[in-house]
Amino acid sequence: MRPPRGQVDNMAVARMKFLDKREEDLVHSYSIRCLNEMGVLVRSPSVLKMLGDAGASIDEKTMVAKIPESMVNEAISKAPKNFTLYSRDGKHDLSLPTESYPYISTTGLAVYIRDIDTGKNRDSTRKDIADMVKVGDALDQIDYLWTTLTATDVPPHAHGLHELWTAFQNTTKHVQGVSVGSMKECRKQVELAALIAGGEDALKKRPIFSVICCPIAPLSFEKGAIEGQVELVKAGIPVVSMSMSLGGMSSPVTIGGTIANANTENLASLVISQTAAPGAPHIYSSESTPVNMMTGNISYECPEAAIISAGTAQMSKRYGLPCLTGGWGSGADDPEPGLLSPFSEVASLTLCSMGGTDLSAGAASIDVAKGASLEQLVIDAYLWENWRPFMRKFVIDDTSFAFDVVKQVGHGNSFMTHPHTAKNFKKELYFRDKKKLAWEETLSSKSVPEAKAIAKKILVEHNVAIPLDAGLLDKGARIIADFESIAQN
Amino acid sequence: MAVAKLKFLDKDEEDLIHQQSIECLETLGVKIKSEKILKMLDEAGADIDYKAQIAKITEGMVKDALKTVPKEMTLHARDPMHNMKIPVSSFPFCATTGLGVYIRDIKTGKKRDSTRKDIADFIRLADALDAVDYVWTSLTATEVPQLTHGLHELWTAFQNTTKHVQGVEILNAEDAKKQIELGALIAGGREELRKKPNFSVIHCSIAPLMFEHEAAEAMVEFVKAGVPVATMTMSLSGGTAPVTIAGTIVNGNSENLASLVINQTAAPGAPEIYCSSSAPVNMRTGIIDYMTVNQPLIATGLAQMAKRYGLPCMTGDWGVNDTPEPGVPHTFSEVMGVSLSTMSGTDLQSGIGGLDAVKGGALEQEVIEAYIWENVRKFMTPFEISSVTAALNVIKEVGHGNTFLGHIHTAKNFRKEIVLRDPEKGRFESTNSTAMAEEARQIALKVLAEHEVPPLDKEILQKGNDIIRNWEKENGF
Repeated sequence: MRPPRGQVDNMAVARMKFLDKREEDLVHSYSIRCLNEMGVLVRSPSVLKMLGDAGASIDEKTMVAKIPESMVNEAISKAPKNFTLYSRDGKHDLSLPTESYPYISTTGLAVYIRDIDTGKNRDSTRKDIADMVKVGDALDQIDYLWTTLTATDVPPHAHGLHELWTAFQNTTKHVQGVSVGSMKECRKQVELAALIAGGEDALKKRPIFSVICCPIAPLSFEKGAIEGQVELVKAGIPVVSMSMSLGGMSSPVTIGGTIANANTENLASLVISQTAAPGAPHIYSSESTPVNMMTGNISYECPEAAIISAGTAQMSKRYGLPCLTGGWGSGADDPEPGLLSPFSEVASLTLCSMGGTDLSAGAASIDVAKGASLEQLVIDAYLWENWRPFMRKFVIDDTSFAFDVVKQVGHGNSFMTHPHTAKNFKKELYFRDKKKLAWEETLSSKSVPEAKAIAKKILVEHNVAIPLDAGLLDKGARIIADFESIAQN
Repeated sequence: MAVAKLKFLDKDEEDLIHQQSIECLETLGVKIKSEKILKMLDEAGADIDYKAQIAKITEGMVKDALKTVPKEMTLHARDPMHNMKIPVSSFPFCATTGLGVYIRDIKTGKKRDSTRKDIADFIRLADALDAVDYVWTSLTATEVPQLTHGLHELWTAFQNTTKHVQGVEILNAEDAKKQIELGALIAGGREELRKKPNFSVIHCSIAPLMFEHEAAEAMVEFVKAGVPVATMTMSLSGGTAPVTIAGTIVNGNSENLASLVINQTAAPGAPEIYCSSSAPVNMRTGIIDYMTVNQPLIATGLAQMAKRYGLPCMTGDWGVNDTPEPGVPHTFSEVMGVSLSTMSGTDLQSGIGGLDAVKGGALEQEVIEAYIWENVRKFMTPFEISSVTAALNVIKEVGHGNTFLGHIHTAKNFRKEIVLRDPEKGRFESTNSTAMAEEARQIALKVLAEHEVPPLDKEILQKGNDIIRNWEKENGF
């Protein structure tokens, strides 16, 4: 059962909060100071020039842009506060911000797949992307798709295009790309999507894909990525400015410093987007966590990951921006499918989706996003089904207070037999599917054989509702082939 | 300092719940089966129907009560090191379970009726466990006269811990007076007990909106003596409260406000704790179900209401076993629901060591839940959010796109800012499993063999025993 999302007033939703109002203000004023005094490194002459023309103070030699508060305020006021991530079939459109639980998607850009037949790891190909996205298309719990795996069987400079194109062919849900190569590459991404949307204007009105654009923490933007971002926002493609502030490595080790750095990078990215294309849809994002000081590895299973996720979500809401600040994937740090971590580590991962994020990604991920597995995708989807009810909406008003019923029942008596209980209990109480309970065993891989069987059944039986027509497929293939040859010359 | 907490209601919704509770108290009122308390409320301005035993309480009375009730307090311990100041600024204080009627014997693995010896073991183990901040009396002393079991439980608990004790059994006004005597013996007199209460008690109203004669009069005795009372509502959605989550929260809030008015009328300024142990009834079995998705949401809503009034509260639970065998025999999302109730904003919670939906207890379970709690409470670690921790000077030194790994700021702060879990304890956190039970059993046996609690002074011990013995004699036992 999918819990209701509804659009009624006086609906209560449980959220994890971390910062109080004053602390939010402190983080904001810090970010303003940082943008003003230290600025951001932008390794693109064209973007620097654009920022300079708009009022930033530019040092052409060091390529640093110092951004005044007024530019930030202007960018915030221009950025749309709600918009829709569209799907090919119109049935899976995602309206942002969410009012209850977030929309979830698969992981992004793993470099290997754990083969479902052999159980061995191998480099991932377009076929694996197709399988993964197709299973995601079939699973009700998965709301949109990241491109999930890296196409290692194509020329490296064109892998992003192949991944996007493969994803489009295997789902009617919204696709979120995770690869931004260059301005030219992003142009081709737009062209591919425009083929499906029916032209670039139609695409701008109903963007069927969006793209993750990562700054390099701390506070820098690579040439190809930032020029690509500018190209995308001009085409009306929603951009997700994902900060990866890794406490102790790419940001201060302090939680305050990590949240502040992620916030600063998001504001800088927003200024760039809104300067290039005022009013362009932009999603605030962070996938920040401390580095494990013992191993130097990134870990999303520590308590701080959930806390940073809540803090950054609060900052995005302070600005009124839709956000993606939480991950969803129970197999995050483990090399094998299953729920192999202890309870409190899986709890960290799940709490990341409770901090107020509108979008969440990470299903199918294993081995800290380096790998992906179809079994894990099924497991994560099922676990999500039992997790999202914590964030479903409840009506808080006179009808749900039911004072008339309380009067009828009277002091010290029972509500068990009152019609109000019979009428409402299915709506107010969530019932877990007893058959799936064994899937939620932590420190265990018991669920894997069943998950494997489900994934294989879906691969055999599931058809994507609207296949792309053959002429379109040819055109898309040509766009990619052209790009492959041009960029190589 | 920033601490992660759940929020469920927005400000408007809190106001609605409050208004609805006032309307409920004013128009429907509460049923109080004590003429004495009805009379007291009558004199204070309530509209009383003596025949129906109903007191309609005015908004003004609620406001007055909210003015006199203390907004912060210390729950004292025999050893001041374990004093608990509430409200908390990070994770809640956590206690053992309350009033199981059987123990799963650690040696035989069999269920049997619990005795004072079991309470002593249970509490002594809790005294040794760092994750347990205070104790509930935990088990029922089934080998003593029913009339005095609460006294025996309290007295046994005092002897086996230097932490704060919270009683869960109040029989009647006389029983309360004897409990107060026992507490005063240890505190060094009635006035000392008032100043530094070394125990507190749980009083349960009967949902919906009713107070039993004897328990309510006992509650009044406690507040008059300055012993903090946690006014627990058990609003069970679909059973003793409307099935809707909003209706359950309103009922829980109304009962707490009614208790507050009774207590602050009896003893203005008396310390009390807003309290709820509410959850839906399982519609298939009719039994209270703490493993539901709704339970933490109700806990959060009520904690928000308590904070709206500025009151310390106890709305969360930490007990992860509703079966008769030790372990974590529930699924991830079920245990997560219980964990979320600890993040509800509650200042106090209990439940460690319980089995079988609080009907039983086990020492192994106490060890298991103490260990898991150590890792769960880390989500509520307070972090400083300031220009110091934001560290702009450090970022400037590191520069765009460079690494903080080698900077002295990282080396200096990482232990404070990054919470490291004890990898040794990871294996205790398997859900749907009893894999850790044997190891927990070994730990419990070791603690029982080795841990000593500073004994009570011999003379005090004798006096306490006499209080209970004489009370039993007077009643023909």
